[in-house]
Amino acid sequence: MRRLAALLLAFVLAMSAASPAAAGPPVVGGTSFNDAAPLETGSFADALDTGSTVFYKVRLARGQRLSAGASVDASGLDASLTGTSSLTLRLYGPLRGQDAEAQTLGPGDSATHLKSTNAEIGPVQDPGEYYVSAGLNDFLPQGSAPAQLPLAVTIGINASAPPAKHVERASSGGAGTSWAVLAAFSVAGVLLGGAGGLVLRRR
Amino acid sequence: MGKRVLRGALVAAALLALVPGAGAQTNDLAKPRSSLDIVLDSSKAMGQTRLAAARGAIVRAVRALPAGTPVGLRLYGSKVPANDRGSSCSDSRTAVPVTPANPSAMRSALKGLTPTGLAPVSLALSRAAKDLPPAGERTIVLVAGGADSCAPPPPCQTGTVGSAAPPVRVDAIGVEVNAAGRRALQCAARASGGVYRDAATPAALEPELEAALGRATRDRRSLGKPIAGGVEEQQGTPVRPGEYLDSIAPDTERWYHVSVPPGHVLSAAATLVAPPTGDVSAPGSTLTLDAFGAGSQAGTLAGNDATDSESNLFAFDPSRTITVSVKAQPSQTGNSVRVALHDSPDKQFAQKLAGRSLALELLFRLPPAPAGRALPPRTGTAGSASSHDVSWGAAIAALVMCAAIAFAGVGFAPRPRVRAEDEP
Repeated sequence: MRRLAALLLAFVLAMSAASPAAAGPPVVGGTSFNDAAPLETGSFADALDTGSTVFYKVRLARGQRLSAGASVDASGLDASLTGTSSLTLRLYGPLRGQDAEAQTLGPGDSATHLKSTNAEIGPVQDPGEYYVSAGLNDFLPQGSAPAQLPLAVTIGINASAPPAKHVERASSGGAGTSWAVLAAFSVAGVLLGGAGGLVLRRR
Repeated sequence: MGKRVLRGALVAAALLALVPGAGAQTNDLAKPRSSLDIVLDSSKAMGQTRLAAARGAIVRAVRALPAGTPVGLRLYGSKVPANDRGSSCSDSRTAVPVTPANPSAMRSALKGLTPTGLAPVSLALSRAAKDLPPAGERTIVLVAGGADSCAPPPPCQTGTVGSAAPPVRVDAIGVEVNAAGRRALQCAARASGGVYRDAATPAALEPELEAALGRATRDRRSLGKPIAGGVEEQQGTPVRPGEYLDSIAPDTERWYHVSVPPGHVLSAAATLVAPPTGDVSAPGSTLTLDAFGAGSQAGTLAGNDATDSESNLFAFDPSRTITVSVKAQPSQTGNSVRVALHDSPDKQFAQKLAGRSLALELLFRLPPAPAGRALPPRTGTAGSASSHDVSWGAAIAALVMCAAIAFAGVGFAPRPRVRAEDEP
């Protein structure tokens, strides 16, 4: 069931990433972590300058997964300019360390000049603010003014089973089982060794 | 407003007192750079409903701008009726000059505005470019109900905006426009390096306008409460949990003191933010974050709670942020935090920054210590493993040892001596 949900989410992200950019309510990403724009599940429209990065933040509870997609619409630019363009999506933890990165390489969708990518993290251990950044390299000819391109951002939060269960199993049930296994192996060793010894004696 | 000015003055004074030369650097970070001009379609084609929605949206969006943002308002098609085509096609006027945001002035200028004439979009854009100050990031936000009804040439072919120096970007919002209007406005935006957005209904205009203004003034958004860290441990600035903005120059340190209540642990992160443009890569440079326990001293490794560092800053990674973070151990009270920026051996930071500092975002958190975990988390070494964990290797070793002992004990035990009377 969880696998099915993950597949569905991936499908939704892929479809939204492939759809024309800048669909959904407008949002203004921040210039760094401290002014990152808060987002929830959904699709959002922003704009991204060439050579710049925008930041968003998403609040996650323990055990949740974060899926993020970004898509830039470069159809306003000459196709010959976008060949070296690259869109980078990064996901960061609550202490702003990078957890995942995805990057587009080469030309995007030739029909729409779209560049799309997505990344996922989780289930997370630490609840709190997680960060998403989308950055576009400075691919325009030297001396050109930056161009602003429509950016679509998609956020999916998948409430999977909390990992606390695994921790509990590992810390309580897991420890008891290990001691039982040790005892069982010891008894088995005594029996095996004793049986071997008896065989030796009878010879 | 007064409080904000006072706070700014206090921060500046603190910076000057603590860090020689740092006041100017922080002022640079906070220096207003972007300016914008809103161009509103007041032509007959816009219609009363859409114009009324735009009037309200503009006042509210300007009110939401960061204080001091230079913003103006230009109208077109607001005065001369459409039947006087020659004059109506020249009808573009400044309603509010580009000055620090003043919602009241905007409201007064928009009061009683009715849709009147033709729509000289191209003319209005070229004049709006001249309304803006000749420096910094300059943006025109065009709110229109359709295409230019006076041109040729269409707005995207005039080149008057796109060729301005410094460049002016046009972000266009079409309010319930038809396909031809959308194409024309999209063209005007793209030609200047801007974006076009549809407001499918008059009500949808306000969030679109707020976003457009927000993007145009992104450089003015608050990056956290301003703070100035001390230059040495004894001058550490007391901080509470939260997000802060400091600045740091190459080959300097910043010190902060965090009071950690019992039952909590200290988490801290420091992010070095490169300027939006320009090369600041410095192979060989290092950013370090240390958290020291109570009573420990800098450089005393035994008292060092936690440390993190990144090297070769901005050199091999396209990211314009570098973050270091620490989680102090629950058993120790981390209350001194040091951020150190070491330049490369050939002083590339110093050369490329030319005396300026880099923005430093700080995050301090005091989450509760994990229950039942007074000791540092496991590192995976044998010495630190939990006493409750038994590995499969240990179980197999126990089996082999027990088997060997039992085998030896039974197999090689001395046979019982046979007594003489038992002999046949």
